[in-house]
Amino acid sequence: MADVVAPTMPGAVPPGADRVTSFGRALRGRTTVAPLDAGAVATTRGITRGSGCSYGDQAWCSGGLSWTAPVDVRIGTDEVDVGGGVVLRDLLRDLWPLGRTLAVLPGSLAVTVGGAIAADVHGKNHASAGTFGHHVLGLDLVTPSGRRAVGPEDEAFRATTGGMGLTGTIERARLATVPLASTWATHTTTPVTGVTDLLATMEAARADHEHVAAWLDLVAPHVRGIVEATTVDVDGPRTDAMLPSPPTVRVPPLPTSLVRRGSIRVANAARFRLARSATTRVPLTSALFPLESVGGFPHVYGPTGFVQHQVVVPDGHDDVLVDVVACHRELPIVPALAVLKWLGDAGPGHLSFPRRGWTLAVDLPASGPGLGDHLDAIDQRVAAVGGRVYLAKDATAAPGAIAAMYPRLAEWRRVADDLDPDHLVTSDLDRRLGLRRPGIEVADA
Amino acid sequence: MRDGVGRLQRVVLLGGTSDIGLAIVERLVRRRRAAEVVLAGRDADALEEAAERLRTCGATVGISPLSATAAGPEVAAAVRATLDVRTDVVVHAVGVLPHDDRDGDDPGLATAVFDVNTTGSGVMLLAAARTLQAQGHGTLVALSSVAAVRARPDNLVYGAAKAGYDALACGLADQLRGTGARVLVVRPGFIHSRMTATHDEAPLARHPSDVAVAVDRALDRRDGPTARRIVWVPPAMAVVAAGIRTMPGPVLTAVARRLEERGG
Repeated sequence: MADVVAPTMPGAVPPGADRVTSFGRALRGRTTVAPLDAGAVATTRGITRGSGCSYGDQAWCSGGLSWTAPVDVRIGTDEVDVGGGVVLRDLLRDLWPLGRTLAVLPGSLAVTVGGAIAADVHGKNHASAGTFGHHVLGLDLVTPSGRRAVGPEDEAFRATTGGMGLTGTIERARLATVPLASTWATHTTTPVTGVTDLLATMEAARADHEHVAAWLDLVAPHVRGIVEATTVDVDGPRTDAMLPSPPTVRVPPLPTSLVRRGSIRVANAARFRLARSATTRVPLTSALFPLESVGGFPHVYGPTGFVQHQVVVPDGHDDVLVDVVACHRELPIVPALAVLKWLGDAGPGHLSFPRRGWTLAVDLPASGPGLGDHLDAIDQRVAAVGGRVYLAKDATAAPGAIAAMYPRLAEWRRVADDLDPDHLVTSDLDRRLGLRRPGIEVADA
Repeated sequence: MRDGVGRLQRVVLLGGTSDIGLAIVERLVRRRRAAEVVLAGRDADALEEAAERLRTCGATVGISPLSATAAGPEVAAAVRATLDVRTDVVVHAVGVLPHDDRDGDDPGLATAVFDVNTTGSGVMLLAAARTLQAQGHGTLVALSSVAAVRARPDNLVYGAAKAGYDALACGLADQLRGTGARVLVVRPGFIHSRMTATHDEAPLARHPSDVAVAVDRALDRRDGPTARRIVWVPPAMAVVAAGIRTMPGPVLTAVARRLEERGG
């Protein structure tokens, strides 16, 4: 007979009334959102919550507290000292007029500094610039065992970058800044048909562009896409009017999903046919931050929302990438938006997502349990060659699958346990995947 | 923890040998990847047998002792011992159905029916609901019965006991609104199972798998102000129940007698 492990629930709090959802609105929870309180962190179950841009249940703790970090900014000459709750967009609005920027910026600027570190996010320039964590000079970490100043050489640093907030709250961070010569960029678009040609075009674009990504049309009869390569201009001008700004257009909540195979087919065909092989000068913001243009876009998926499935397929396994693309195309569910990028070497964290290879992110309507089985099959295929799912996006992975994808999980667990011996820091993601504590299916294999 | 597409992680069955309860759990294991199951009940051998069957579906199954007739605090502790923060669904399928229709004439039998179906079961519901409320997520599936809508002459004590159980479950469903946890009250009509094997089939009879499908569907609908709290199996039973509830006493007695004669 199997022993059923029944973890205790230390410091249970009364259920809060705050309703939270994943970015894609497929997951929902109830939690109490509260400003960070170092005393309460030592006695109460909880996790840090930033802007709520994670695609799953990463940033809340059902029945527990969800901490928000400070939002003040101190700007130095080549670094900034910021609260973990500072939103990247706001930080850039302070930095760009001074001619500085951050080396690594994700596609969405709505995320917080703490969230960017916790997910160890990457940009389209990962191959040359690494992850967000590579440019962090130091952290103030609030853990149940106290407040700690953590530097890049510390184990706690490696456990925290990419650690999904499960080592404690990033109260402050010191980030290196780099010069920003221009708010303009040279942007090259190349429509391509066929996966092999897409990969070849992207490889060629990598040689002379910092930022490379491809949008894929997975519902067309043949896979096709548009390779977008961007290089920030080196000779200006810097236009203050072109600062990142919050979306001006917002999709309201809709009673039903607009994402159907037919509608996506039409939209994709239009996008592909309107694209020209061309090189243009465009504002940096529109080239690098596509998610910034329209607010509330998850609402187009209706009340059931969507999940994003992002995997990395290690270098040398293009056949697996082709299989994964084929899997998505065979799904009864429409792969509404697919983005392909090339990743460079692994990030600093134990649980950092990137490793050298292709990464494919696909937005899928969260239609029901059947979709999960398809995604499980893809996960297995990818894990078999050393690939992994991105924890910041995950909403469906099998608990038992994570250890194989993240070989440093046990090492990470040990450091996290040192910082938080009573396992007070926990999120729904942590419980669902058994990150801090292995689930029973591992013990009873 | 429930995932982004509605799959489950951990399911607990209170009344681990119940045909209906096991049908629900088996469906959740097969369709919703519920990998961890706990069966709680009295008969260790029967539980082990049921556990073996679920293991062949791919679940890891644990067994836990639980008796509805133990002292209240003991019952509550036994329920809490089966739960942890990852539990998504607790199915409560504990109950006895007297073989004799005239259960009202046997004080010993009546006591047993109230003890198990109302007192013990009620304590279990309360313990499970409180735990789910504290963890801020999860669904408590309370197996009530269409009998709960009115204690008919032909199932007087069972109906009255289930009415108490049903009232508590519905009250908990209201109380848990907005906590992240929820209660689903299931009211099946006649279901073919071990419990009803010696009883005459009633109209609209269904099988445990039909209850499982109905519960599974209700779990698809996420919690919210408009989410359903009551599931009738079959759905037409809602209409029958409305009839039974509003029927004048003399008519109800006559109908019950007619059904009894037809059955006999």
